Amino acid sequence: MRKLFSAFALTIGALPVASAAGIDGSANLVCAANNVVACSKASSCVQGEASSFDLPAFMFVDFKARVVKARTEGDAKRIESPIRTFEKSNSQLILQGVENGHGWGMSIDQAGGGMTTTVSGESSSFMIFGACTAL
Amino acid sequence: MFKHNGNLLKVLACLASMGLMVVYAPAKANDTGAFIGGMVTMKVVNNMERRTQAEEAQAYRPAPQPVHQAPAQPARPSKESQLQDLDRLAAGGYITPQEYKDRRKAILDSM
Repeated sequence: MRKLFSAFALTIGALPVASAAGIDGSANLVCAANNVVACSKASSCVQGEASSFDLPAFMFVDFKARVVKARTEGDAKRIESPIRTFEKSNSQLILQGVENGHGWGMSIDQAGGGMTTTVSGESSSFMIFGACTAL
Repeated sequence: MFKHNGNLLKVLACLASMGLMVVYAPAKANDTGAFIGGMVTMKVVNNMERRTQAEEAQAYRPAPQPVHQAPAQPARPSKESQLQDLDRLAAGGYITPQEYKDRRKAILDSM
């Protein structure tokens, strides 16, 4: 009986910890893109809502697999970007990667979840502004 | 000898499976598409080019020209009104009787 109670107490005690897993790299994140600002070498910059750029509604940050991906598990074709570096600053999670000749960096505010992603290539660069929350 | 051949077979089987893995690995890698540097970049750049072209087309579109209407021609007075005017001029003494006759004749001849 005592063991059963202890197990129950441990379970209850662990619940708040699990639900309080915030944006600290311990739990995976889902991020929504809100706005995009894109600039190219040949022309001026354009900006608009992320949906108007036909971007996926959500991005998933999988810290364990060290990838940022578009879809959840089980999809036939995986679309993902490997995370080369991951660092935690005082208030931000900083993820960086290189893909198809483009360098990208994602900065996620640990307190509020605000997300800024920058992608730069040879002749164009763009920023994605959005927000993330822990899964 | 048999035992030696058995080990040889195991080694060959191991090498064969490694070969299969080498062949399989690229196929698996091809199933993974690039996300941020691939799909996202492609969509943003394509969209940016479309928007830029649309903005340039809008900027260089010639301003709509105002529709020029030919100035309205002054309505030519009818013969009747010309004759009435002529009568008023004669009655007022502005023209001589001869002038009145000449003008009246001209008006009536032009009909």
